[in-house]
Amino acid sequence: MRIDSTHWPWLIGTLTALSVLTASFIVYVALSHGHARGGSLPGLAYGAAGYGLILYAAFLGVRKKLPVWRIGKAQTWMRGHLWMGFLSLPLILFHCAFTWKGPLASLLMILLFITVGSGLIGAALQHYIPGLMTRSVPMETIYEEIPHLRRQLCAEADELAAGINSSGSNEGALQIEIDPEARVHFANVYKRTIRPGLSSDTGKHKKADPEHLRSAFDSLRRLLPASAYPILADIENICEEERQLQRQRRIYFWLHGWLLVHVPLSIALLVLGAIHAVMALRY
Amino acid sequence: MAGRKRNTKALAQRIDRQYFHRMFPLQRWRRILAAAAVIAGVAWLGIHAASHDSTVYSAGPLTPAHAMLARKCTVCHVPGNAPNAAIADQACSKCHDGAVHETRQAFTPACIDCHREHTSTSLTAVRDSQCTTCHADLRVKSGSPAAATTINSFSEDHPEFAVVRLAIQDPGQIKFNHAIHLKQDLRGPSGNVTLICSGCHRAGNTEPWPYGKVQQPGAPPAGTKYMEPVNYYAQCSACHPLTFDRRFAESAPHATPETIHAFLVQKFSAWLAAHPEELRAATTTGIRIPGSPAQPAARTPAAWIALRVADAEQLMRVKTCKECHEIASVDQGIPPIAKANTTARWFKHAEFDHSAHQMIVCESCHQKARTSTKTSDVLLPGIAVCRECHISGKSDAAGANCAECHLYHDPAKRKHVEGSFTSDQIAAVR
Amino acid sequence: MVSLTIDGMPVTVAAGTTLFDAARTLGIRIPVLCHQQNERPVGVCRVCCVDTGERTLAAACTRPAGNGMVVETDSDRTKSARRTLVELLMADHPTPCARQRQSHDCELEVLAEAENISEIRYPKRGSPRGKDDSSFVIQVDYEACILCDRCVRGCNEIRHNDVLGRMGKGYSTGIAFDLNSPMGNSSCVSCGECMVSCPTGALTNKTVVGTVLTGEPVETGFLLGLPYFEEISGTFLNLNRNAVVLRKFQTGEVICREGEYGSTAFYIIKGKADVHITAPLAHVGKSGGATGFFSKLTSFLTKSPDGDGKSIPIDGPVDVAVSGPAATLGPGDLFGEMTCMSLYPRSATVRATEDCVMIEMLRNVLDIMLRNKTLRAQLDFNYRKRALEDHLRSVPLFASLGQDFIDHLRDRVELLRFNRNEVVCEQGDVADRFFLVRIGFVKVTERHPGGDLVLAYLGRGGYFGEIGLLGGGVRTATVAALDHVELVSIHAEDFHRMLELFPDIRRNLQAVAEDRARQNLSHIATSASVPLNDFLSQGLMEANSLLLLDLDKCTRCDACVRACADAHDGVTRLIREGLRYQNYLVATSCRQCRDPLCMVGCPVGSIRRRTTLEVVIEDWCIGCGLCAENCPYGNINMHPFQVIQEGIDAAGLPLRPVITQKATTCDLCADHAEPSCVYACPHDAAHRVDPNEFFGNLPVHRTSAHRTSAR
Repeated sequence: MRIDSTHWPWLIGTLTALSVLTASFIVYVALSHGHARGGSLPGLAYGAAGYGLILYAAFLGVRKKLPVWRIGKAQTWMRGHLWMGFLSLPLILFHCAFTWKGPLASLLMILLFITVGSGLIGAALQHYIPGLMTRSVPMETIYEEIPHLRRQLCAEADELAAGINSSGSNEGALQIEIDPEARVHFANVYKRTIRPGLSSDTGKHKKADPEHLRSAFDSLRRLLPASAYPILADIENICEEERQLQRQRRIYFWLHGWLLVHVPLSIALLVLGAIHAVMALRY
Repeated sequence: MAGRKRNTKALAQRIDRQYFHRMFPLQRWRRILAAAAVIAGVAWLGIHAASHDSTVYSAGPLTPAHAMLARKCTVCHVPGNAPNAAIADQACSKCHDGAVHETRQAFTPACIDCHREHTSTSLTAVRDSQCTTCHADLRVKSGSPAAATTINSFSEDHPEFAVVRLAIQDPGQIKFNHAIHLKQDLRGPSGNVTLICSGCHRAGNTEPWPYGKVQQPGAPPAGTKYMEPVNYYAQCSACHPLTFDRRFAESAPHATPETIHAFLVQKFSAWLAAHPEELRAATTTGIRIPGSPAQPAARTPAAWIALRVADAEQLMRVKTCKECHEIASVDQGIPPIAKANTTARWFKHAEFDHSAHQMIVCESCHQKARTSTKTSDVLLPGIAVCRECHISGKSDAAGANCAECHLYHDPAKRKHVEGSFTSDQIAAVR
Repeated sequence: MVSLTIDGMPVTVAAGTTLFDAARTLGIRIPVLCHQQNERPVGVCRVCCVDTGERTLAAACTRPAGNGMVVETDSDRTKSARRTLVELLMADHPTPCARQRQSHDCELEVLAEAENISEIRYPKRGSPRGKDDSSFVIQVDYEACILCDRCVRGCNEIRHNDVLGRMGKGYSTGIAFDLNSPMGNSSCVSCGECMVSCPTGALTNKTVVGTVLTGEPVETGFLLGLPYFEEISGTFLNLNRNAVVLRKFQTGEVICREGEYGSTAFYIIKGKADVHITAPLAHVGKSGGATGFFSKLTSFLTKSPDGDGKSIPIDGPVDVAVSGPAATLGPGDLFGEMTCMSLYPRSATVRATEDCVMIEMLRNVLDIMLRNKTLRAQLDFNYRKRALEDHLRSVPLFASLGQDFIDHLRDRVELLRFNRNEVVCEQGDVADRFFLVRIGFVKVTERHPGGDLVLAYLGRGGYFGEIGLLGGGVRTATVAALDHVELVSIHAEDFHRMLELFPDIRRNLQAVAEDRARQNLSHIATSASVPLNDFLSQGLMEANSLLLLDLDKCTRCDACVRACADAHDGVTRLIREGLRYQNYLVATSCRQCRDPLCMVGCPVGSIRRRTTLEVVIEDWCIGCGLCAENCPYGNINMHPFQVIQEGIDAAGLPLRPVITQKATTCDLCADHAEPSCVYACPHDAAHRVDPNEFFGNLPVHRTSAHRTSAR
């Protein structure tokens, strides 16, 4: 979600809340003669409020699983997640009065910082990467379908190449006269240079060097008659699409990869935080 | 163009419309990592729980004194308490005494109000604010407060020391004039001496008296904080011997008059036994003090001893002892001599450690010493002298917290704590 | 009237009658090749030449009879001329041609045999003319073509498809499809008219599954004995013997299945059959949301689905009710008309409930039949009796008509027939009728600066013309037939009488008229303000509502797609693929086009607009896939659904659910306040907008969910 002028109310609300809370914290610390701690009444209040906000932030995940329930627009929930989630950090810091010792407490603080930090990074990424993807991948498609589409592209390219290979013969639909030698050369170039760039299993992709490809196509254009140029142009277009899809995959990973940190750690934070609350209250 | 159609329908028909029902790597890994994170966290806690180790939930390390209780949370955090219950005083008093401060105090704070565990500060480092909750506006349950009612900090409104403020006189009974003793080039037993403060005033010092042989060893050292009471033998006897007769070089013991008397009798008896001719010797040398009766010669040894003892006692009384002691005149018998009554410690409610201040020249604080002529002078410096170094609120000054000098728990009221733990209950876990 | 003598026999015929027809009245059959009785005669082959005593022989098919003419049809002169002509034609003919092989009735070869031509004196032509294999339905063999022009006339004048024409000159003359495209690549619609018109084997039927009629051949005599074939030319039936077969069905046998493609109509001679549509599956009724305990959370936020449309229009003499979709057909009923005439998929499943005897026919035969007055009268009667009332009642305006008035109307309505592209009424004409559509599709357009604006497509059960009758008596739109269309018309008098008797109808009509006028004005305003060139390439101007995904905000998280699927039985109606416009992705999701091509041809009228602009596909969709084919953007897709069938089968067991395909499309989540995709996008990237307003800097309305109809 982009943070733009529509977030004004949220920003103002959060800043107001933050200043009120900070003032209350200062008063609390002053009155507690250096004994500010999580277990005191204000400390518990901060802790409960902070945990509540973290829990609310986690409910965004639940909301996304129930997209049709009319319980508030997803946008509103997202804004709430961003601002309330951010507010949970100062609240927890107030709860622990800026000191954390003890294994569990330290771990929770680390988790909180990493979670909020990764969230901030993710939010920042979302300002730039969608635009980047839009600009640099004009032939963008659905990320999850990229393997499926690459297979289609391979098949399409193979068909076009087969068209050239079998042109001029009786069963070829294409009536273009091509030198047999040129045909062989084309087949070689296609097999060695062009096709490997298109096919590969979904994980690893050998990045085809664009310069290399371009020179390969140029050489083919010199060799084949002009009537074959449209087909070459199509194959080139397919290679270009393939290259763009690979770029899309990389950019998509940047756009969504941070969630691999944010989500697991936040769930761990919730679970361990609950345990912390129970155990700390027990003692 | 052989026809790479790029229109909406062609693009859309490429897509398998059920794609979003499948799970893709990023999603899958998100779930796997989430489960792994939770399981790892819970497992880590579980391992600690399985080995009955609750230190993982600890709010911070314990102070070194309690470090062995790290795994024995229940010693202080008694199970069965309400959740988030504060540590009750009963838990502390199982080991510690915590003597009462003042029976009339308006409210008694709990142990934990001042002594916080699981923090990095020392348990005894009590902040001023704990004290000033009462002392900034002191009230008592009955009667009127014994201390100043508004004390906020040492530098600001800590009252002048009572001794100085009330101009208390030293009740000591030894006549002593500091001014004379601090003069240069005094006549010492073997040449001139110039006395220094630490020559007489020692704190737990076992070094020998530097100005000559001590007649008798002094009392054993009593700690390094307070100056030991000045001891005749250690500090005075070298220059002020208790000689009593020309016949003898040694001094009389510095003891009760009865002891001295017995000593003298014994001494003279021994002398007479050793020198029987003294019995008949003339007792005077020709000088006769007008008005005083002539001394008859002694007939018997007993009389001679008695006469000699009386002379010696007379001498000591009017000259030697009177040097320092006030001797009342009595017609008969041995006059009583008041006890020295040296005050070892002037602060009733504060601790002062001389060894912590040993780098300072004595007179820098005890400025009145050089000019003090009377015993009754109390040479204790005023609070202003202390405030030169001890400044509240400055981190680059000497500490001026309440706890620097004062103790909450009245040491006079200390009680014994009967042990209630067996060693396994409290022993550190191996 | 003119009187003349043919072969010595006097005859008097109406002026303008050709010699051929005059001879025919006398029973003299002059051989023809290029003349077909249902076509305009052109006289290109000259085989019908007769001697009228003039210097040159006259072509009997074109020459009108003159008063006092003396005509010899079989003189030596004509005989030798005819023989030469046939010989010349046979010289280039690939004897035996495909038709002769198939059915032994190649007209040329039959004629040659009749003329006893055994050896040809003339050499075969040098260069071959080739074949065309590209059509799925018709085999083109140019070698057998005699350039008689029958196919051209059939295509252009009878079917009005205007695909065929002549090309070339001299020896390279030939018949061409469009601009000499292969037949399969041309605009040919495979109606078969050329094939049935062709006298030789130049255009023959390819053996494609389903187009060879199985069944017993019928004798022409038998057919002519049936009441509706009475006045049909026996010659025609003879020539088209393979276009008509007799079918016999046993009880319980399925005659045709909904959704299948076909090209034949059925006429029931004996027996009864049951018409039904597989029980409808509620598509968007529940519309996602919570179930069980939590259903209260979402149920009160959804509106109950529209309850109109009580009957499903099908391709037969009756309509089928939504609630209990079954109807009965009996002797004398004709069904499958739309499938046969316009090649739409079968609209329902017909199953014989008794042993049936039926005639199955191809289009050319049906066409002839429909011109038959007796049949027309019967069709009218059937319609009036069984379907008219339902249709009238389905018009919301007439819902409150009294029964008497309906009965009165029933007899006073007129059934009109229109062919493709024929105009029913023109904008600006005097309005004197109200129309209901009995069968076929019409297009309603309005003239605007910059072109015609399509207001609606109307199919069976649709109606138009009431506004013109109300508001000053002038038509406000042009209505043209898209294919074979039959309309029911109510005359102005009856209409006005109705308005008098039922004043609330007049009120409703006036409200509709005002609303429509307002709509049209706003359409003009918006279309004038948008830079046309930006939109033309993607056709965005055609859209009333686009789903735009702002690519600078979209994180490609698929929340919109999941939400859509969640709200629609797990099948998404939106795909995040398509072309871009500025920084937006124009998602593949229904655009509520002004000119909704998807609606054309739905055999059961299940894809339609109700009262607002969203295109909805009703539950009774039979899964033929025509709308999906028609949509140029791929917004409609077929998906298999499990359909619960009510009832029990022959063995007494409950019918098991079947998997059928149904079409799915975006309906803007009409029963929610906001489309689910927009609602569920966490990044404010999904917008449903009217493109003309959005990009034309006009004040933007909310999504078009609640705009009223364009009708």
